[in-house]
Amino acid sequence: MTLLTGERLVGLSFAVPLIGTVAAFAFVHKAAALRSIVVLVALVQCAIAVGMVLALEEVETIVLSAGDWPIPMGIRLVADKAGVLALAVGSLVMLAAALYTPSPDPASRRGRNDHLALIPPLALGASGLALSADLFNLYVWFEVLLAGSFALLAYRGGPKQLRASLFYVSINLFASSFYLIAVAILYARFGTLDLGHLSEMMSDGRSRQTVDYVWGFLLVFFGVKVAAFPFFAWLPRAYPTATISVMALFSGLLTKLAFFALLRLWVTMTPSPLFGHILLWVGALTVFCGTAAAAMERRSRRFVAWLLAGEMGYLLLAIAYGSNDGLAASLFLLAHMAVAVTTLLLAIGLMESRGCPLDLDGGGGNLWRESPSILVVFGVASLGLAGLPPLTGFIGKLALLRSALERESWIGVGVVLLSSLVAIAVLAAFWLKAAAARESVSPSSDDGKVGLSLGRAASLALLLAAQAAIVIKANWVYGYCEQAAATLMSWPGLSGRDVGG
Amino acid sequence: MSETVYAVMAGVYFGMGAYLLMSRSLTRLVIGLIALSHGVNVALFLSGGLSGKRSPFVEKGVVAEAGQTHADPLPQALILTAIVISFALLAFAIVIYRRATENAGVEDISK
Repeated sequence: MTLLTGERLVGLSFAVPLIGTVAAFAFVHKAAALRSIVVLVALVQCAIAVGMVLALEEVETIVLSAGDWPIPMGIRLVADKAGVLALAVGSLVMLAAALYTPSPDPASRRGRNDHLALIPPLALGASGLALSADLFNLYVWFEVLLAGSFALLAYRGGPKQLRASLFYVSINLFASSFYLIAVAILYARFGTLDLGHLSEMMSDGRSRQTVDYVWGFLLVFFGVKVAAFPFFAWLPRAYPTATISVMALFSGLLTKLAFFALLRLWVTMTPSPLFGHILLWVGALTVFCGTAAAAMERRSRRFVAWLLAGEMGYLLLAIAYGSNDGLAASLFLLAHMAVAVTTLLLAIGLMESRGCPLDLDGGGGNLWRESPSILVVFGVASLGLAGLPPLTGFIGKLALLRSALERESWIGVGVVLLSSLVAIAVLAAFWLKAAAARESVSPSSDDGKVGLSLGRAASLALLLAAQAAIVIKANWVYGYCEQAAATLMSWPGLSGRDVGG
Repeated sequence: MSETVYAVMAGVYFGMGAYLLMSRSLTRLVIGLIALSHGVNVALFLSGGLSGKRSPFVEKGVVAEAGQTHADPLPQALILTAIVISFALLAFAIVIYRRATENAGVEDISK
């Protein structure tokens, strides 16, 4: 293991997606090779994340200064436990999405899979977001992720997709402007863009007003990116138009990484307690409105999109509660939600490809007779997301409830419990509909492949195994989250002085 | 004084961009995106300070303090990066717009 030091792993986590992007685009027309390359890239990223977890058992943070430039001129990459968690979970979601997309059947017209070539750029953006410690560098990685996701969203090219993509582009560019204005103000005031350096300069409390002012802009930006109230309406408009594997990828990756960036900025550039209150209300309203809108949806994809938007509210509540237990709960919920939402969406994709449209107004899905195994997978995925014991959602929400109760935040407690109940109820309604009997079933799939295949089974098995692993090793995972939260709040050794390679 | 002018200019660009972004015609939406990125670039430009008196070139043997004794080069790097990124995304948005209006017959984004 001495060959792969922490610093080399950090460098690799950028190099591998870059090389993977080049390779993927070189082979973009050879479907089978493309799929292998993308799956390999995602697999290697997962391995790198695991390697970093092992490396972080000795040190608290791995710091890399790009080009060995000293602060405040250089850009630092910091791998701490929280960042590696985000990276690991993101890589897992990408691996599952890459495995799920089938190789196209050469005989049929449908089912091209060259959009897989856009997954390595997403992996690059994910590495950047998880590991960067420079304000402007974060913006760059946000845009890398964004550019990849624009193309993926518009992939099928029909009018619905194009409209959704333009809408997604506009709102995200608008939000990015807010972030850049915040960066401009911070640079004008402090003269540095490095997060550790900024945190040190802000700690004396003299620039409280500037920080609060900047956080006004940052809240708008993150509100759009994380799909918080009142900026979450873009999610159910844009996401359901994509292919199901793309929707699963987005749901598990983009908002979660954006939330991780918010977490990063929140602990390094802590605003005044007013913003904690704002975040609390925003989180509670997100959960409430998201779940209410989800309960009114009759179609499964939009329902899951609204549910996803609502669930991000839990993360915001956890941040608002702050201090070690709140942040640990938010990290655990991050990991849980990424995996659980991806599982649910891929299970829905499987059911759609079996001809079960999952529309509460339409006919039943006939899955109870035809393929009960898919029904079981959907059931497990739903319960996992909704938070029934002993699955991951339960542990995460329990942690969140504990933080809420400790602070006597009855709004938080009420909103979490109520939304979980509603989520379970509507998911059960969909499950029953899927199981209901029907005479003729017409399979349709936007990937061109019907039913279970090796790749699909592998990806769902991987995700379910990950959930099971989190549950079985819940103590270890939660302990890891607590250590990560502690490191996040102190970031030792990351002052304005140069730390070097 | 000139900083105020620039700030107002950035605000005008921003307002223009936001207004156009909400329009129903796709052409105006794209122009709104352009105006938005212009406003942001002006704001980033401002962050380096507008003294007009600091030299961008460092004489031999002089220790320079960016932003104090000499002009600050970093905001220009930030602006360049922002321009490149927004240019690429804008190019993509225009391609989508072309495809939407010509092939798919989409003209009104609110439908």
